[in-house]
Amino acid sequence: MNNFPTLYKKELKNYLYTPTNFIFIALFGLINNWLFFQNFFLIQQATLNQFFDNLPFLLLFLIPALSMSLLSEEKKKGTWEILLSLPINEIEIILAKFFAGLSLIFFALLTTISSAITVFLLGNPDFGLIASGYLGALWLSASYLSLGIFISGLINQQTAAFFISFVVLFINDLFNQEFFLMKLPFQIKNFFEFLSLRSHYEEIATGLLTGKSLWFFISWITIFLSLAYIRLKKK
Amino acid sequence: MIKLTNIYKSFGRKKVLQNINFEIKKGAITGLLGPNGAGKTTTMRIIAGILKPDRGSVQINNLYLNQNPLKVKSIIGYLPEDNPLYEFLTVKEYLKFIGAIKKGKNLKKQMEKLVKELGLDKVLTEKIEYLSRGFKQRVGLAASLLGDPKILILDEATSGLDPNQRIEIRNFIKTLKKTVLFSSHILPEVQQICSEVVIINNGKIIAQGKIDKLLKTTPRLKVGIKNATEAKIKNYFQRFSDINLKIETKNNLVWLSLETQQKINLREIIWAMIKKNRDWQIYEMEEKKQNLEEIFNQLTKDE
Repeated sequence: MNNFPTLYKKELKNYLYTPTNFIFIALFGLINNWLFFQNFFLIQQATLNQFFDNLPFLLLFLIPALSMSLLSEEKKKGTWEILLSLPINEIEIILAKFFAGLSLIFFALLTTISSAITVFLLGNPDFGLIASGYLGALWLSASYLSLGIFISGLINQQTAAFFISFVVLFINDLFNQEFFLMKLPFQIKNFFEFLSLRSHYEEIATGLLTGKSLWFFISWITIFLSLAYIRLKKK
Repeated sequence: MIKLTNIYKSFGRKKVLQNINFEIKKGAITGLLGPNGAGKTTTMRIIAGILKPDRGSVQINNLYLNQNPLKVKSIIGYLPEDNPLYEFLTVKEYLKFIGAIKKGKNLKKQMEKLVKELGLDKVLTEKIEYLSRGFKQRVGLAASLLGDPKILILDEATSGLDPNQRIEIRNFIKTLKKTVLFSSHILPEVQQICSEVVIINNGKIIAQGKIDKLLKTTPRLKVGIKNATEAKIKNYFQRFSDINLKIETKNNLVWLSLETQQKINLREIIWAMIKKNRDWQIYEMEEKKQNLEEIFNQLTKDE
């Protein structure tokens, strides 16, 4: 893992160089804050519950948009050849892309901090709950990102990579929606709910940091990063 | 230094390489030639460790590439076709990035030396995106040389450059004293800098060896004969199926162009023909040395 810091720095520089990333982040921040403040003064409660409810849906758009180019762009520009000809373990490439992407998502989540500050200024919210919410959002983002990286490695076309990542994550999101679950038999319902990333996110966001949820997130991330690695290695 | 044994590679149903075998000795500059789609780039990518062969083995410096990929990659410098670069980085940042991965001794000194030798000092802090093609090529070359690799693989290193830039890069490669595998479409260029060639067509090696030897294996003769007739000459050459004959009559002289891939003494055949036809006189006989371009055309057309 000697080359990880070098590759990570390169990935971050690439993000800084790409203006569309900033547009996505700015839009993400604007929409999040707009959705939050629209109802905040009406419900008259110093809580970020609504914000954390909306967040997974917005991340469904943001993360595939950020991840769609992670591997396919290198292939398109041919820089892939440079990377693969260097004495680098392929896992370092995948991890550098994953952590650089996660850093950018962390930065995107920072744009929503104004909502949290407002809540603290106007009331006395539970700090632990808000911290759990952000922690859950990071785990959820990391899971979305790992899938996005895998799909970006699978499909060369960026738009197609975005669309497929979005659809897969959207379907996964449905596994936690009541209108979908109520149509299923009880045993299957539990299984689908367990597979839903959002259900584990909600558990953490409500302050229940269980081993089951953490294990699920870690397994999901490991599986998709490993698949991306295997795909890369196979070439 | 580089040894490829029974290499096969397919992309889907398309067989790109079939039974590729060649060896490049330490310090040799070898040209890899072939028409577009012949399998040159795939061969180079396999040697550079970017692609895996379906079958066969690659040995670099007595190390098997599939068993020691990182070790092998650390002794190879690779400049891909089209020279892809991280254009969002400055020249300095890019070279530092490559250097940090390649490691090696005195990297800073190496970088300074390469920057000076390749004339990159003026553009060191400029973003690669804004450089001219010539400078980009130099950046790619400098990056491939960082870490002092023992082997250089240069895929179309001079393509798209103007004649002066090509000469500069060519001269620079000649001074490197490394084992080089060099592919180019400009055959006179290959003839100038390479001592050996491997010619590949439709995924198969069709010729390989020292350029001088290869030129000798395809003798060519041009003969002008007085008083002869085309019909009689054609009739005489019917028995030599390995000789490619072209005849034309100009100013009462019959001109013959003879070529063969076999070890045949064309002069002896001509003298024997003259002996049989005593009224014929040789007006001119010239042995023409082929250049690499002609050999290449001939070999790739035959396939």
